[in-house]
Amino acid sequence: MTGQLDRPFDAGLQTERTALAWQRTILASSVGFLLASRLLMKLVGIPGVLVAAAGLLAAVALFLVGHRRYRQVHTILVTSTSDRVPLATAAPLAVWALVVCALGLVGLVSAIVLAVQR
Amino acid sequence: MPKPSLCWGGTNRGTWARLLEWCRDGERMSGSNQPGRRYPKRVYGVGTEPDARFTLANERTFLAWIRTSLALIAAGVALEAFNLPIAPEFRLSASLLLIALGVLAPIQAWFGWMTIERALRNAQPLPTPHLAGPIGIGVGIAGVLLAIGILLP
Repeated sequence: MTGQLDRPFDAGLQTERTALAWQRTILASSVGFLLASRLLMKLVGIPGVLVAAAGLLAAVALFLVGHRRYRQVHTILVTSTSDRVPLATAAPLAVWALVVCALGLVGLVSAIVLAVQR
Repeated sequence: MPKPSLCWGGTNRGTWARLLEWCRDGERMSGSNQPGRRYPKRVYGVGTEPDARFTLANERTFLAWIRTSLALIAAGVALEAFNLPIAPEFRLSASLLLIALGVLAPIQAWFGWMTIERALRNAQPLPTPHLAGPIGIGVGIAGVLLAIGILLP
């Protein structure tokens, strides 16, 4: 059973590529939240840092969720006989789209505040 | 036989160990991943399972749009956060335009993912990414605005 689980599902390494795409996205998001925390600290002080810290925690949580997602999909695919099997839920995708949208709105307000301050 | 705990574990099954175990677990299927209980019902309640490779490619497309959004937001905010020598009106309008596009991109990401996954499940032609054109044109306009702002005395 271990040997079977250790082999990739396909030669194109699709599941692995998807896992890496999640990691790239989480990395980019973390950079975004770090920059947001620096900017918000300058604009609103400590509450801004807390908002950005919450975003960073969400990114860490998403990293763990993304890894588990890869493990589940990988196990499903290597242990089934067909390629057309149910994979994972899309809840993490919806959640992250909302989080990034919210970060964008925060950025919008920040840009307006920065312009007004000049 | 449970492994001995790591330095921070108080017991053999401390929180960190359990978290690591949860995160590496491929065998015990999550409740939310059960075929009948996946979100959203609007997608997974119709059609039949497509080839896994297409589903995974769709997921990577979603993630690419999210990264595009982050880049647009970062660029827009950076234009205002650093006191760049660009005419203020043009700089602000380009900045707000880029950030607004960065807010639109996750919408394209999610709804694009949903409509594509549904089309895959129903064996229908794939839909076009509707917001891709506007976002591309918007970035072009922002570039023109910045060019004018830089060139103005």
